[in-house]
Amino acid sequence: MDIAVLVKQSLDVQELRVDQDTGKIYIEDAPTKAGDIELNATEEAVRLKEKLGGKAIAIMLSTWGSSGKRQKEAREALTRVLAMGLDGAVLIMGEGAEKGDTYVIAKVLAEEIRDKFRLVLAAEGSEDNFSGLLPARLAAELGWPYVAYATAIEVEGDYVKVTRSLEDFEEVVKVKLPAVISVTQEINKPRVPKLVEIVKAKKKPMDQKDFSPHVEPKLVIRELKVPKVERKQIVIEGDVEEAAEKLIQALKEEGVL
Amino acid sequence: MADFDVIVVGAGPAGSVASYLLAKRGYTVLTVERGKRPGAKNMFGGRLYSWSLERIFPEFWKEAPVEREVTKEVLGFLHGDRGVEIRLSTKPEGRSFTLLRAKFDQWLAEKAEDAGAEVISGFKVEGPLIRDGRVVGIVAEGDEEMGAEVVIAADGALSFMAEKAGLRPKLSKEDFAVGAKEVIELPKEVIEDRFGLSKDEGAAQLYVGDLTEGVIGGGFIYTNKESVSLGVVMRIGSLASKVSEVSTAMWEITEKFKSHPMIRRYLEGGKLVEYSAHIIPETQFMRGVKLYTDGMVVVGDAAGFCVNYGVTVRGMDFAIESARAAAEAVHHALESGDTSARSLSRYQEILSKGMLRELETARKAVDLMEDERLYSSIPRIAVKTLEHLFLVDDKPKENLYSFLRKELSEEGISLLSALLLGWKALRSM
Ligand SMILES: Cc1cc2nc3c(=O)[nH]c(=O)nc-3n(C[C@H](O)[C@H](O)[C@H](O)COP(=O)(O)OP(=O)(O)OC[C@H]3O[C@@H](n4cnc5c(N)ncnc54)[C@H](O)[C@@H]3O)c2cc1C
Repeated sequence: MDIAVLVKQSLDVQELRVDQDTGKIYIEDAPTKAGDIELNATEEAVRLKEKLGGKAIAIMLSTWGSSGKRQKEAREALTRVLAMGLDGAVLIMGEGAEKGDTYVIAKVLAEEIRDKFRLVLAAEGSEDNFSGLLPARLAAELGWPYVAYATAIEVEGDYVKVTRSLEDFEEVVKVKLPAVISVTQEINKPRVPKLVEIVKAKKKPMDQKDFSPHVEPKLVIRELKVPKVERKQIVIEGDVEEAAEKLIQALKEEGVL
Repeated sequence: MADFDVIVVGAGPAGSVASYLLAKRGYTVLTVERGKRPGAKNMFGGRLYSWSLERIFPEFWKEAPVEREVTKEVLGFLHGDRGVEIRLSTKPEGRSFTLLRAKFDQWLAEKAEDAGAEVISGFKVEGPLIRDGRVVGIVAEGDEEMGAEVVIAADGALSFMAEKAGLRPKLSKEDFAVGAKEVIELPKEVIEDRFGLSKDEGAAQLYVGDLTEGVIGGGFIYTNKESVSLGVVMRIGSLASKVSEVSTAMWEITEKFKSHPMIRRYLEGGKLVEYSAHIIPETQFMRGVKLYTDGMVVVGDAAGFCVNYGVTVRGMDFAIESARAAAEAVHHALESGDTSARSLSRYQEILSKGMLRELETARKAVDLMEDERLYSSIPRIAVKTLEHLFLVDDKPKENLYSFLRKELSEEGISLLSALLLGWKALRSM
């Protein structure tokens, strides 16, 4: 049974620089990487594949531009998941992809997946946008069942049994394959690839395809801006004890303490 | 057979150049870098002298991400809120460039990759893999072993590779100085205007004075395209007992430097975008590093090829040149099938014909600059003397000679030793 893992090229949000004064976000300067929850999806795909046979392939549709830098980063991110044990990767990249909304992206991914895979694993949300919409849209596009927030997955013949972790209880559902499943970080502990596995991963097949959608996005992002944080600018005076007293008082008034 | 012909530890300038040259010759090369990306965490003051990189990539600045070519050299003396600046203007001839490591190191590492080296980032090497007294590979994090005919240790100033292979003693507090640096963003035109630069030209400015409170060291400013690199270098490794004390002291001195009226005007309206600190091993320590053993050579900072001039540090060009010599020696060793220490000693031979001489000259200059008075008395006297020359008030003016004599005796310096000091300072520049 062949499995597709959706691996998003996420902005490394820890390295995202913003200008508090102007609200500008320096997106081009921020590096990208494979999202953390995608590593869980990868781990799960590798475990299933090891048990059931077949191939597990990473699919990445890059939406942060197609510059040389982004291309290199995308390949590095894919190398990392390949090193965890996937068999190959498909990288879809090109002009216009940065404007793609989940509607367009689901359409493009569906074409790539439809006849080739029986199971799609994805992260419950991406590390940068975390809209969590894509797997559901993709399932709708494919006409396959969708199960979200999986904490355990078991394939039983033509069916897959999925444990979902909800607020107060766990739910176990059974759906017929082919299906789309999104996983949470609780599902497993992703393996850390060894050096030799990274070296080998660089030689695994990586297919680069051009992004060429047949539809227009429905959602247009006009501007990305940092929310403004207003400072209170309270100056506390007095000797140390007095000042400390006043500070505690002020913090209490703000409800911080 | 080993997994790779060569494993290079560290993708700083030394590591990437060695990787590039050996991969270009067709050897299988694995380069392992601890940082998320090559250069991600690497810092330096700000200027690369071109000579050694030019031997590998002629006119590299046309392609490499350099910032500005240095055509203005400024030496400044600070005393209280006053200061003197001496400025040397030169013609652009490709001699030295300011740059930012994150971009530059990545460019060099890409060169190595394009030549065929496997560059893997985000992996820490624990140490050399040693069997029967010879280095046969590396031990990577997670106790993973990887074999190589030759290992090149390019892991920087702290080099655990060299230490674990028994090529250098453990570094102790007395053996290092500390550097701290900030990157402050300013619009291009503002930089060119304030520093008196034309397009693509840059300034390197060094300052000594009471800023460091008698400790050897000082402040520096290098202009980039749209930012300035500013920082301080100080020999406080031996004075402070705790890391936290060192970093507070460095921060305070940096703040003091930035708020000096002469420095402040360069920075007004700028935005702090980066802060970093790094240790700088002292010359005496660096002189004691052995350069090779069976199956391994040490290059760049790891080999001690770095000179701390007090206010500025120079090591990038030496790192690159030593990597070139090492690649040459490793090539011969691999070709002859003999990677023993004896065969690799060719590395030291190549270096002693060229770079080691230059390095020794630089180190001697540093020995001359050990005199703490260069960092305290001289700046003070310089500022006061110029004030004496230029400022006019209602009191009668003493003649310059007797003024100087008086100032010197206040500092406890005889006229003769003042001349000697001046001579030393000039010689070492
Ligand atoms: C404050 C300061 C200012 C300076 N200013 C200048 C200047 O203006 N001009 C100049 O020419 N020089 C300057 N230098 C010196 C210069 O930075 C060094 O000489 C130069 O970086 C040496 O290059 P390198 O490749 O040997 O080592 P590094 O640049 O230190 O590179 C070592 C690499 O190895 C990696 N590494 C380390 N340990 C491991 C490990 N265990 N596993 C995997 N990877 C590892 C590191 O992450 C790093 O990328 C300055 C230094 C300091 C501290």
